[in-house]
Amino acid sequence: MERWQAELIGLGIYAAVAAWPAYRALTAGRPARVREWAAVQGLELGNGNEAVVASYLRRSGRWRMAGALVGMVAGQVLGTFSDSSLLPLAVLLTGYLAGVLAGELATHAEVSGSRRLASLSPRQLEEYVPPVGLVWMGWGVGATVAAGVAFLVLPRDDSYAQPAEVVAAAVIAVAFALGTRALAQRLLQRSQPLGSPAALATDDAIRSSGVRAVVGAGTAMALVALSFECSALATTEVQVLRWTMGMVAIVALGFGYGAWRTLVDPASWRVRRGGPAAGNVA
Amino acid sequence: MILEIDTASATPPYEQIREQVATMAATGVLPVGARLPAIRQLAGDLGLAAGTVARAYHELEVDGVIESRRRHGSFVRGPGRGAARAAPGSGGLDAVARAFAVAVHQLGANQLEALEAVRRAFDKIGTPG
Repeated sequence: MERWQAELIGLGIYAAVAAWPAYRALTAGRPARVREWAAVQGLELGNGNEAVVASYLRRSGRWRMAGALVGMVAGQVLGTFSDSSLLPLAVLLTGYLAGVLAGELATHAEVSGSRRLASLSPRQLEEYVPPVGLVWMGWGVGATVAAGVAFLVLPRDDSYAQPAEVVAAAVIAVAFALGTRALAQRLLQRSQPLGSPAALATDDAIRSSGVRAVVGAGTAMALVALSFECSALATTEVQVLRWTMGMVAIVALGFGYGAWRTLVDPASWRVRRGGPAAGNVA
Repeated sequence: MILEIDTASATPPYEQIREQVATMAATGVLPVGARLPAIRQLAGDLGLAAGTVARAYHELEVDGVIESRRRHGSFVRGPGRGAARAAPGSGGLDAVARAFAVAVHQLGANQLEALEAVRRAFDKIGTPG
């Protein structure tokens, strides 16, 4: 098979996998979708928050879609200059993450007037994202690093997998995890208008959507990197790894996609805050 | 608990934050061990510079009202040395009442319901009316 044919097939697979999320992203601002989103988040629409939600969903959906599209094309183009199977997916996820951030940057509540109110309740990551998402990311990164170290110490034939690429995959997974966690924390610190309970609940739901998308990108990257490391382990001279790691790599890749889909699904999590009067006691 | 800042006031914003947190800690509204929001969060919510909130937190730490634990945040330690300033009758009660009124508003309750809840709370703890 020619190189360009393989690239075309790769692009076709991406397009097939991305078709449904793309359709959902591009239609996110439609009234029916807004009502659906609000219902799973437990929001009552009215008093102006319907327009806020519709505007956020439309804007964030388009930015995320555009980021992923640019990342997908850039990954394929860069992939033609490299033999790395990790590079296209890493660039795709980087583009998606950039799209998420662009959408969130445009979601900024202006604080104005001389009299200003703020809640003394800290906003914590575990309230805005399913804790299991953070666990997946942590385990994914840990397993990636462990698999990378195992590859480096085991007897192998370097003509199949390059040690430099294996190290790079672990570094990318760690950097992505630390970076996405820091970005999620920054989203929590974005100003929150202290208004009616409905306005606060709307802001919390919107904030959670951004945080979950960022953590979803970090988790997916960790599992994609783990998949890459497992593929490398399958090329070592340890027979049991040669038999099993190929399958584990496929499972990790599928799990990465599934983890991302789960985390960005609005039905996966509803913000759990005690309200502005609650203080978290250490 | 709600903080209220008036940027047009002659009192600097950091001092308003310090005073209100100290009052809440002295009156038990903020219990010992309660975690405070991150400096950036509070600064973002109030539309202030992070340095302003950091200064308030620093002064509260010097007064022994809060303690900062590296990477874990800031926690209420106790009434601190400024407790006397925050005692009811010298502005402390007003601050607590203001925070209560804002919290009632946040909950969507009206004044009558709020006063009735206060009366029930006093009945429960047996405080003379």
